[in-house]
Amino acid sequence: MYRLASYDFAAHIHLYQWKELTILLDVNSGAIHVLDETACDFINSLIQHRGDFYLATEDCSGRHPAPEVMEVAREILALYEEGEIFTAEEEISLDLSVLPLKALCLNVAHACNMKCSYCFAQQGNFGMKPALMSFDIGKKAFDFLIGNSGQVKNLEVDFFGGEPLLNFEVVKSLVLYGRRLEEETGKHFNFTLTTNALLLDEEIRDFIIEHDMAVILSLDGRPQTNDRHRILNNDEGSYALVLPRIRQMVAANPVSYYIRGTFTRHNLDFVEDLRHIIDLGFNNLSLEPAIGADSPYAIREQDLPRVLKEYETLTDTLLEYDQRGQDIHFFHYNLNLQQGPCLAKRRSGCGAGVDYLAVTPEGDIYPCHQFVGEKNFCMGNVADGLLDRNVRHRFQTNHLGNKAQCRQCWARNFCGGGCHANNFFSNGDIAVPAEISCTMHKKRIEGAIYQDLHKRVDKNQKIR
Amino acid sequence: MKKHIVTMVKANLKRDGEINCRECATSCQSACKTSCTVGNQVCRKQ
Repeated sequence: MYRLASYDFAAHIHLYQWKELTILLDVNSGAIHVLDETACDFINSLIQHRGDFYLATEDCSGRHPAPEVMEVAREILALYEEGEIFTAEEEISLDLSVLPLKALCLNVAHACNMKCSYCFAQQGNFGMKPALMSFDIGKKAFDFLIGNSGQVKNLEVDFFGGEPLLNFEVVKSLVLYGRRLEEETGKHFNFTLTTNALLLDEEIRDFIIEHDMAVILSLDGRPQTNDRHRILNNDEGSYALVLPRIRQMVAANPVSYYIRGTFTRHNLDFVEDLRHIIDLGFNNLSLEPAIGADSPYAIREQDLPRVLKEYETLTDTLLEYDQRGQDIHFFHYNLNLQQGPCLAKRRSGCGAGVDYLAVTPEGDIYPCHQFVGEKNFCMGNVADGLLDRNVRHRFQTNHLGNKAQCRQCWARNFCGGGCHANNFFSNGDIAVPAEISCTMHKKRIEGAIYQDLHKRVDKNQKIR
Repeated sequence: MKKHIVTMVKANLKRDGEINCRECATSCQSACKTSCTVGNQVCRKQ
């Protein structure tokens, strides 16, 4: 254990209490342990004494029976030998410039049939002239994706907006074009459609089902929550109109669906909205905080204690449903603790500006959907097939390996260094973490880990 | 048999020969479109 003298405990382990469980995450290996009181005390002593095993043992022996302390010490040593605790960070070389393109967000409509007050796309047109993407531009975008995808087989296209169903004929033509490309190239497209559901009719539903498209359906929760922000063009709330359409869509059994809601500082009791969505019969959902330094609806620092408490309630609520036999998939809690992505993926982050790009109706390319309209981030046009090297370089190098602050954070292998857009819109710099988002994200990770362990502890009866 | 520390998840983060294959899902496309979460993507190579 001599190496522990210089071990950075704050960066490489995370020890926390969540209700009945004391949980230790070994950040670099992904191992997760549950500790009893003596073991927790020993680890804290070890941290306090800067990794000095002798001092930690002596310190703990004053508070616990000496044989018990020795047992803990032996268990920690064994785990250390097995590479399950106090592991070192693996140095891997991350050259994102060699990565092929994998995913496109196609903004097929810079227009919307709603005017949601919190919309980051400024009611659908991203602050630009309203426009619909032509088939020709969409086709060029597909060709651009295929041409730059290298050896990657599984490609992704999300039809986004504004409201993409305002341009459904082009969506249809592009999906059919994509399926033809699959036959010619051996690639596979995963298609997603993100919609407010207003225009979802039988014809569109049938097309979505027939062509294996995943759907992301916007609904914020309770009628009063939803209708506070999700407003029709006639100023009325949208809940009553969209709910039947969402229900019909989900009942048609798409290949995948998520009910995607936003919570703002006006519904910090958002667990009630989660309950509402689940009680409507939906099992897959995502509730996202409104973010952004300038938005009157965004979560502010003073809201955080309430939000963090609400995530605790959310965790309990998900466990309640689980105990009733309801299998609920809350997007941010779907952590794959045993078999998640490789380290390179975790450290390179979301891929924006690198293997994931957004395309406007005019064919202009941006690092992701959230940067659309920020002229300094425009990377080129699908018609030219070239990407601005400077912008690309900024994103290729903005990975975890180059973010000093993130490398000290225990959550780094789950968030991948955070969202470039969150960072930019909060701090004016894609490399500076958005603290409010980070705080919420860390709480969600803690809750997700607890939820996973609690279920398995229950089943195994190993602890308690 | 350990009495005081129970390992619930074994060490599983490793570099391997297939890194950067990029066959797993792009996080931002999956559901949220706002908050990056790489930890919940499933590796398609395993």
